[in-house]
Amino acid sequence: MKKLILPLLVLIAGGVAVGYYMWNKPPATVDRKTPDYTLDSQTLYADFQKNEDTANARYLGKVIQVTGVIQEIVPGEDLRMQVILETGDIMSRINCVMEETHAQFLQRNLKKGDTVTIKGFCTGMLDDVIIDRCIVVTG
Amino acid sequence: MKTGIAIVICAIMALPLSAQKYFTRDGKISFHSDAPLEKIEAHNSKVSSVLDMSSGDIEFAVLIKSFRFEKALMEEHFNENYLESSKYPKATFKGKVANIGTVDISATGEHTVTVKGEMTIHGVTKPLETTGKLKTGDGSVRASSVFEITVADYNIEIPKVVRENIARVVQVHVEIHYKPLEQ
Repeated sequence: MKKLILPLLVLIAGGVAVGYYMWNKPPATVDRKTPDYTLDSQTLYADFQKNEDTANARYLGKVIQVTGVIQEIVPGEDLRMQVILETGDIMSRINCVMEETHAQFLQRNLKKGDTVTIKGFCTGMLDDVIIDRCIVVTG
Repeated sequence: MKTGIAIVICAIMALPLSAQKYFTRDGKISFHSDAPLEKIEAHNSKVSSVLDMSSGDIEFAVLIKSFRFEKALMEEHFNENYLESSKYPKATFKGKVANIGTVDISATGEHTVTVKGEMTIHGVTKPLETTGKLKTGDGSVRASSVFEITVADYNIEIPKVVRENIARVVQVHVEIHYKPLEQ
């Protein structure tokens, strides 16, 4: 019986540690995730324009890897940089909210007109299609 | 020739006064839950909103999946169990700022206003009335408001297991920097 106490305590301590980690871990980041969909900005835009409900069923909450031409680079209200990709529609673009701050992003030397590939989680469409927690894959 | 000019003048007069509409894609909304066991807060910085300074019409749209939490578990429960964001991806508000005529957009000032309208969360629409502040000056409008939402009003069910972790009434903070809508 005594022999079991120590391994049992280790098991319990392990369980508590895992529980604590699970309870407190921050939301997932996209960098190690394989994209659920790899496509270009025009296709993503077209899918949402054609039928928002169908597009939501397909893309909402999924990891999207999107390639497009940079239309605009905008600092967000929460200091995260936003990269807007062209869709041909001035009112509805692909709005990628980057995990990086303005300062971090500016070091990339990316500018309007460059083609870039970005990976993030699709959170839906308001006027723009929004891809959140993004990282640059190539560009 | 005269008919042509008359048609052009009529067309110009028929155009809406778009200079009175203010807009943002980067509004901020956060909510705070203060419960016995835990303090939870979430932030959304991609709120879309339009404010018509001549009619007082005001509209908001926010994507539920754009709310950011400190903890993954809370974010998952919020999306999957409480708000079911795959079924109801957006929350919206449509209303009117009362007495918008008293707010002079061209002068620098701070005005307390009343906003009345309908809030839709989790597929449920309820009337909502609150006060807010409109700050004018520098050609833009800064709006802010704090109000409370009773979670159960929107058919949001919190399981007994986390009952002490989530407040029944949640405090919502809205902060929007509106800029003129270019058309």
